[in-house]
Amino acid sequence: MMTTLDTHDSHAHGGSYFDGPPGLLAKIWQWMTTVDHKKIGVMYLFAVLFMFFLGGMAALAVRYELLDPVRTVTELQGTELVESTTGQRLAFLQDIMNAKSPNEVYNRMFTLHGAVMVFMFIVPSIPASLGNFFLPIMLGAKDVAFPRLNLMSWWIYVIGCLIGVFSILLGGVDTGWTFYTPYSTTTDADHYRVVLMVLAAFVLGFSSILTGMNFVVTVHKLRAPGMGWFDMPLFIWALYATSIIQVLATPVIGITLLLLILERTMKIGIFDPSMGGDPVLYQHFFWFYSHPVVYVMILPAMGIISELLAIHARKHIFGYRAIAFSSLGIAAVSFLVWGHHIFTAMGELAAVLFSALTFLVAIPTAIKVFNWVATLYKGSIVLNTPMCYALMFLFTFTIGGLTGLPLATLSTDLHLHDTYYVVAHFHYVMMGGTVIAFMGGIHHWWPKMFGKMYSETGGLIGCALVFIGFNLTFFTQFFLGTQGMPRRYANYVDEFQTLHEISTYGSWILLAGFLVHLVTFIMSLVGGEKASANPWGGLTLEWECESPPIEHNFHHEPIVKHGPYDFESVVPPHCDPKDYPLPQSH
Amino acid sequence: MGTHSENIAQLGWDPEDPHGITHHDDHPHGHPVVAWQIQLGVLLALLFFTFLTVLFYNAESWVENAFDVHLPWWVNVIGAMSIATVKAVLVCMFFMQLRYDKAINTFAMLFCLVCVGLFLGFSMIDLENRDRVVEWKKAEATLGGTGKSLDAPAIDPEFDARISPRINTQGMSIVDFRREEALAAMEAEGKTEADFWAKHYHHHAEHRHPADTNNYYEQLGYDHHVELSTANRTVHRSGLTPGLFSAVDPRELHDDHAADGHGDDAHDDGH
Amino acid sequence: MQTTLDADTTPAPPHIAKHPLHWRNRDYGHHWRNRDEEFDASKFGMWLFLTTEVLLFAGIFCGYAVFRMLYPEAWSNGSHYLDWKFGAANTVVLLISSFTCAMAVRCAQLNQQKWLKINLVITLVCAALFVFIKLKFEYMVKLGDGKAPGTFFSYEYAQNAHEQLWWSLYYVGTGIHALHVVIGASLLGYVLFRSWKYQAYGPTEYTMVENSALYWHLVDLVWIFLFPLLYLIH
Repeated sequence: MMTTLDTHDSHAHGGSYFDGPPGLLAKIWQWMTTVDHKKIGVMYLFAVLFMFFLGGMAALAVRYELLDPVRTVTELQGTELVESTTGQRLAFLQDIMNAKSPNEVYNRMFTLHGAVMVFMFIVPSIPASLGNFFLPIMLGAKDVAFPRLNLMSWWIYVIGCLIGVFSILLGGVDTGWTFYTPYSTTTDADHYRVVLMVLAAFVLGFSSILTGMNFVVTVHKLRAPGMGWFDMPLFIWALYATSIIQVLATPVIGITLLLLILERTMKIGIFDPSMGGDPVLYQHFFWFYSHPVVYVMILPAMGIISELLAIHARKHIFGYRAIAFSSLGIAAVSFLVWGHHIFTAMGELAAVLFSALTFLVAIPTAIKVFNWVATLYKGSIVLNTPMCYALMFLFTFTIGGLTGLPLATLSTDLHLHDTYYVVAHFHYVMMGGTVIAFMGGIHHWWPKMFGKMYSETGGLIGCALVFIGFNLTFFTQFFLGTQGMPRRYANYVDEFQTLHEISTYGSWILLAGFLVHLVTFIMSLVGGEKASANPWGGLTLEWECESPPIEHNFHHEPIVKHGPYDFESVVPPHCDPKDYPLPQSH
Repeated sequence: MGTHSENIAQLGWDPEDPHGITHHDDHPHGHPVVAWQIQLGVLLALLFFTFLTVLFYNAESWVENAFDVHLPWWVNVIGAMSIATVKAVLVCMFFMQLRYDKAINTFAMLFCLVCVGLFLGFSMIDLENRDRVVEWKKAEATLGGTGKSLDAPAIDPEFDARISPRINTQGMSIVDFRREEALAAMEAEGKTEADFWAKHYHHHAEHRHPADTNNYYEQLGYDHHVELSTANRTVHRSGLTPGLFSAVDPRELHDDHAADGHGDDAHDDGH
Repeated sequence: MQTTLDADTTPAPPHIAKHPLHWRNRDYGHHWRNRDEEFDASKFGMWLFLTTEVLLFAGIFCGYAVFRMLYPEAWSNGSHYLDWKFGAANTVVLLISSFTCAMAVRCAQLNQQKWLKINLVITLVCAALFVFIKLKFEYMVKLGDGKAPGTFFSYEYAQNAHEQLWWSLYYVGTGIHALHVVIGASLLGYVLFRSWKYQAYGPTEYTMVENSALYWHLVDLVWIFLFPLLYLIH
């Protein structure tokens, strides 16, 4: 077990990390200027959840518009035939958003959904919140390598979000989150909304780079004595791979968006075909970042799942090294496959090459899934909320991953690209992967972060609603896509209405699920039962410290004497040995 | 992990130390300091290589002119870039002290360079297809990619009505447009077109733009043709969308000239 | 080989010696096990940051390469518009500044406070000279001719329809590089100020000098490649 060499009173260093100075203003100032990775992680957590709410609202608006197709109805009123349009459900926002048509409101809504969810929610979601909070603790360190840089990264994130929200308040943009040229350089030519949104993404990139750098150095330099590379929890391995991608891919989006801003404001012509510029070059630049970044989104989620499955099944993770190396493998392959986003814009040779490389991603991903399933075999599975989310991840993520293969196949992709099939695949991976794992991770670490237990009933109800709502929303979209429903359209033919309706109702159930979680979390914070230091019987170092942790995490620097998943041979810290009978006692 | 308990004993735990565990190697052993003679030598080498690359550039132009030979385009590129690489390695190894530093820093840089290679290589892998129009899409394809030139009318007034290009080039490229502007201005001043072309030629001779010599003769009406070096040129292409700026496809232009018996080198890759 | 243990042991002047920012009075971060760990980590972090800078400039280089292949005539003409003499002069200026910058690190390591300041001043003078040459003899002259990027292009004697793209790439590439020169010079200026005022850097506390110098060398590295690409390859 982990020895803390506790030579004197363990409470000598004072209370938990969020005990601040008296007075509200002093407390706020302390949080705003803190270099404590835990406080920064918690601030990130609430910020990304707020952005999730914002992006979610836009998504609900998109689904609401698609509840029925736009129809022109002619009816007899008195003696006159009156023509009216139905189904433009977002028309009431047209004046508020200063849009030129109800359809443009729809275009802005899906752009806001994409831009907010990608740049402000899902990229920073797990690494910046749970990663910031737990990476140093799981390594046995007092803080990340560069605490002040961490604070700077947080403030850059806030500034980026403010710029983005400002652009939304001015009316939003209708370019799609990919900002493809030349549309993005010509639309709304007399307004700065697009420039602001692009600038927001540019600024957020800096935040991402700084967090990534910090994590890489922390993992290299601040592991506790006795913790070798292969004694690290798999969540750390996943965050390490994530951070490498963040460091290496994000600068390219920086220069891309900078060129885009120059293109838009000064018309330098690099991406403008009317001046001989090359819009396909923009797509290469953009996807060199944005493809690896989907692994920035999913890798930390995979790390969380490795933790959840092992702890809540009380079983040594199956194939530790395979999972660790597959994280690095995914990171490496992620830089080789971006061409599959522009199959239809490139020649056959390049497309075949990118197609073949894309299939490579399936290998490390499948290794992970097989190992997770093997971990569950003969485990003592506890069906609490984190475990249910982990199982849900296995289900939805596998669907998401397997439906990616037809998209990587050139012949089928020609048929499926730019349809709802792509939308469904992407959401099964990103929402069914990252968001589901994020929710599981929040529940798993909630007691540690806030020192309070959440209501298991509430958690399970929310989990069930999310599962049902998610699958209703997105599984239908696979059918829509294969039947030919194109993405990014506000209108559709009548035949698609039933599936679209089911999808929209699903989105409401999804909303209900997240609201249940919100209520559960608030109730836990207000009147939750006090959490013990190690409610799940975990063996990683965060369960060694108190709930919530003290300011410097550990009373003394921990020394690691066993692996993170040795459930068969070690009684977890702060736990009664008779609750955790070991198979063979020494 | 059986050796951990022994490790703990060697770690020198000190509960009084605010830093927790103090490693034994905390007592000073110093960092390497590179001798100033080495650094000065590196600077001199770098200056020498700068001289060399400039010399190479000028020598190559001189050889082409003096011996009337065509050096292949890659001589220039390979020469300049390999010298630059040598300089970069020197800066990294000595000024940035990678030679004396932890290997991980070198590794980070090399790994990054691999990524740069992937980025450059894969971004250019489909260059040959950038101006290709798929046969079955041809009917819908418009000249100039989006069909929006700098002065093109809005395609969809509802969405594009507010596009306000900075300049209206009247269907020409900016380069042609500015030339027409200048010609008009000179005519207004009472000068002739020949004055413009004389200046034009003067400017390009100053910048050593070979293709313009023939252009100049052509403009003055001479049937004189200078065989020009096509060295230092990659394979000729007409751009992203052939014929974007002119009603005539440059390749057709080339065929016409070939039929006339005197090829125009600016549009010719065969020589 | 010399190490920081061979440093000059002259004590600081009394009015500085007690200052908390003097290098002998500086402690290291509470979460590090020892000073060397913190130093190594900072340097590794800096190198990671430099990799991001390299990838940022890779975007410029990629744009350059793609358009050179698409429009070789425009690129050849564009390169001939530039005068290699100014490019070479700026290369020499930057190489000298890189050398003095490396010397500044050495002086900090050996506690040679006077030469540390002299080297930093030379580096800053070189930075100013670089920007001056760039603005006065290149940007101002070129822009005066109308050789401007994109729609600002108004040079009437241009030959090739895509020359304005060359100028776009030229101004974006050298502009972002010049921005890095300014940022690097600001960092070194901060180092100069602190060593002037407090003798803040010495054998056990020179991370800031080292990292600023690394940044400065990267600026040099980028120019080492920009110079042949823009001025020499035609």
